Amino acid sequence: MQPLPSSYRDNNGFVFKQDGNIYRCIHPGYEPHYSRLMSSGLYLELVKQARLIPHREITEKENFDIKDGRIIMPEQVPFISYPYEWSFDMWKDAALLTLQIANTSLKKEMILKDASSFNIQFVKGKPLFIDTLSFENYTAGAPWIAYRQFCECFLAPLLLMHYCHPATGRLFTVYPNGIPMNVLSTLLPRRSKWHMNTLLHVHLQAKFSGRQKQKTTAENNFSKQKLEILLKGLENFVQKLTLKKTKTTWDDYYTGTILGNEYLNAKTALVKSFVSEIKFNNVIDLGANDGHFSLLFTEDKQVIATDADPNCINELYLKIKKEKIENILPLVNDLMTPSPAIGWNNAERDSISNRLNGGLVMALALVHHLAIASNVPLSFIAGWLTSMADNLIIEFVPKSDEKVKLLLQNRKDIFDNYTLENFRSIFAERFFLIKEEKVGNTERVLFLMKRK
Amino acid sequence: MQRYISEPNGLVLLNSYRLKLNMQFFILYIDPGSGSYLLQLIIAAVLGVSFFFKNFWYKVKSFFTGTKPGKEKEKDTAD
Repeated sequence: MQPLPSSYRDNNGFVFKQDGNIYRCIHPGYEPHYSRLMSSGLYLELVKQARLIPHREITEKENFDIKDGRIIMPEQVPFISYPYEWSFDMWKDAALLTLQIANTSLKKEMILKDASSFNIQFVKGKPLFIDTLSFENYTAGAPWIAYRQFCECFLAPLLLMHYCHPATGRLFTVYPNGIPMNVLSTLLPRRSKWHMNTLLHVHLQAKFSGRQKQKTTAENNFSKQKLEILLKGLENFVQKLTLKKTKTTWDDYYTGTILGNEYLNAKTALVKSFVSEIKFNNVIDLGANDGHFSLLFTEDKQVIATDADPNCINELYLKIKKEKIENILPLVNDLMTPSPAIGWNNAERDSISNRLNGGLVMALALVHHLAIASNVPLSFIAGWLTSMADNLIIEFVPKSDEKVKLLLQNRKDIFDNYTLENFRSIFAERFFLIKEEKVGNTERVLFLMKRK
Repeated sequence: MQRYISEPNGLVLLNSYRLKLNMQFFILYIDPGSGSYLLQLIIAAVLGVSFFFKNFWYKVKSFFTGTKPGKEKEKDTAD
């Protein structure tokens, strides 16, 4: 039983994969905590509220190489996403979930021993706590051991996106174990020192973080009431945080002159007709923008909607939340620098390229941004899509299009190879070109392709 | 390395010993950071005072406006 590359920190157990399923091995040392979790009703309550991942106990342990301890099989998560791929409100809901679970646990004399943002996954459009081993019995008098981790792993990215810019959530790839308070303190604007909560949790904590204090005798005097106040205070603080308003290039992409409703309607009709001709289980929408095309799919198809713009993804997430849509997972991902493999040995957290595999991949209004704005050769784009897509719906945007003219207006046109004929021949090396149609009255062409 | 004894009496003793041992393990599971205890005390104290005054002011307001001091308006939850 090989643990997953990220499952090494907890001496109470580990997560492993066998026969294509994820399991959790629980060492005997964790029994007192596990039994309270299950018998006190805490597990049932959290599962009923859809806050904690349900699991079943494995009784037939002969299939597993284990001497003592338990094996549980949690409900399988369809797609693993990482916190640095979340938008602001996804972070906020994940933070609130962690605090609410800590609060509920305290009522049953348990507490969370860690507050890593990797303990949360998004399933059916909502955050879900997946670390069943994070619960431990509450020791009266002890402060919250996970407080600093909560601040570094949740508060820090939220505050960066609140005070600075929506795109700063991606700093978490650099600090996956938490953005230290002393670093955060220097990044936030000076006015943050005038806000009580930020002053306490960030700036004051930054000043404290350098000290090596001696253990004092009073360290067991943190009453349960104080802990409740701390958790409540954090919850109120997170609740009030909002995303900093910034203007982005993509806010009014579809309200331009040529690209008005008529174009959108024509493209929608074409996409729908292409989709009806192919068989697939899941969809990847690259450059999803406001998710218009992701929303076309029925609930039985899992859709991953990615876009580099954190505002777009946040708007999509808020819409999914409001309308209780369960099959779409929006993620922030810049295709020019997609989420890398990070952590110990560059293997702890997998790159997004390895995680993304699509029955159907949609690359609508995207190719010109990669080829013209970012100089990626068409053959590179074709190669990249080959590894990701069984079926592909892709839109070729020619140089005559007004958006491409915009991209080229201050640049030298070095893109002699960027033509429809070349596009066709390069992709035909790797895909069967099943359909090709002009989109409405524009010069844009929509293709349906199938990997060879 | 902890041993797992299956006899009932041994289990009780070993469990309580293991519980004490494991408390220390859990304390060190993640590094809480030096000074974190004192900091949490300070924060809890400040927030406690702040809650007290917020509550007090809320009661004063509802006394004068005649509204019931009921629950605060619906909060956005993670659900």
